[in-house]
Amino acid sequence: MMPLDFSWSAARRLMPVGFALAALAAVSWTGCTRAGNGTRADAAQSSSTEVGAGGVGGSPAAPVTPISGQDLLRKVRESKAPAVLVNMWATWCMPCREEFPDLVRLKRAYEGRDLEVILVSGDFDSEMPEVRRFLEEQGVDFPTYIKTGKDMEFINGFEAGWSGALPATFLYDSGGSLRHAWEEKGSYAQFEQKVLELLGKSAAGAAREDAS
Amino acid sequence: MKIRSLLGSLAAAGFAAGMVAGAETAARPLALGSPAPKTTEKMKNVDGGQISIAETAGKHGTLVIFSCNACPWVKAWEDRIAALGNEYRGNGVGVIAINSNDPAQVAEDGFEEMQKRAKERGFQFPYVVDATSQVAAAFGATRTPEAFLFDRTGKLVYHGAIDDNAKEPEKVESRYLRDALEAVVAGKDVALKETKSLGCTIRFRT
Repeated sequence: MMPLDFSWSAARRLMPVGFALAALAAVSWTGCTRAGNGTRADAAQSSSTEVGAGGVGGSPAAPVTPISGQDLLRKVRESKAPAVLVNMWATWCMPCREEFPDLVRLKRAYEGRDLEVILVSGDFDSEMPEVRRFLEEQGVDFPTYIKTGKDMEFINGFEAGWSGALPATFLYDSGGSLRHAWEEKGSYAQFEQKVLELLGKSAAGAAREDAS
Repeated sequence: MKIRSLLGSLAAAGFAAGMVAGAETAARPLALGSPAPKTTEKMKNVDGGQISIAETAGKHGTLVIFSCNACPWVKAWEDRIAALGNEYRGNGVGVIAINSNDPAQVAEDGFEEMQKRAKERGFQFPYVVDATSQVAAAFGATRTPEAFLFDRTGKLVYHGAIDDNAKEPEKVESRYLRDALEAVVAGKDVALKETKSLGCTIRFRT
């Protein structure tokens, strides 16, 4: 019964506004990272909020900024990009790790062209060294985010229809409306297909554009 | 704006319905007030026997928790799950933990590991294998851990998380499941009926 690839176009009931909880006050709680456990990456981590802290090997590490669910949704809505893809992942989540390279590749492929990719870690604060290590391994040199606040506030503040299962990926149009979502591991081809559908392009057309 | 809100509703409905594109097994999360599905399905327990949800039912209610071995969110909550399960099993609530993950996808979710985990954590309630993942599908469960609590009349009265802080037990402010269990034992209405948390996607058998 896989994959859990939700298709919004399918007929389905409208959800009663059961999650008015989503209107909870914005969580402005800032991450209080606990001391690391003496691992190599600790050197790269002084707090969970720093921007451009020194990375392992001296190169500047990309910032990992705490974000609440409501702020994440606001960020999506304020984006100028014709398509915005938000991926929720965590270092402990194997399918997240497996699909992650595809998301980074997608971001690279569409850099500055139609698609904004926002990566948000759902890790616990204390996992920040692990988060940084993984992002470095994946060659992430652009800003990413990490969830703050209690799970339910984050989930409902961002997307009330989401169960909280990871990985989860959300595709929005230029108006900030959710157009597709995956509550399961996806692939480059699956993500790209939906992005291109949203942009009104075919994969072949995109390839031609790439070649030109 | 109208379009925006309509699409938003559709999106929310899609998630809430737990639809699986192209699959007729698509289960929406069990609605509050519903009876438990698949109650007579026999599942292999860590004690080697076979047991169904119906056979675990308690006089005050029944708690069904979709769990697993591998998920860090489960690991973070596991002591509390064991304590709650053991405590309320003694208070007339039937308790059953169900592992629906496909061990072919997650080796740590094999049966022997389940037996080990149940022993280590001192589960005094069944921890069973959903060998087809169809029990999870019928409940519309999506993640681990995810709790479904039924009252003495067999109706779903609580669905969601264990509490509001997986990682730091000492910082828990809302003990969702315990509060619901208390209400069920007392025969009272559960105040907060639906909660959420992050969790690991159930690795359904294909």
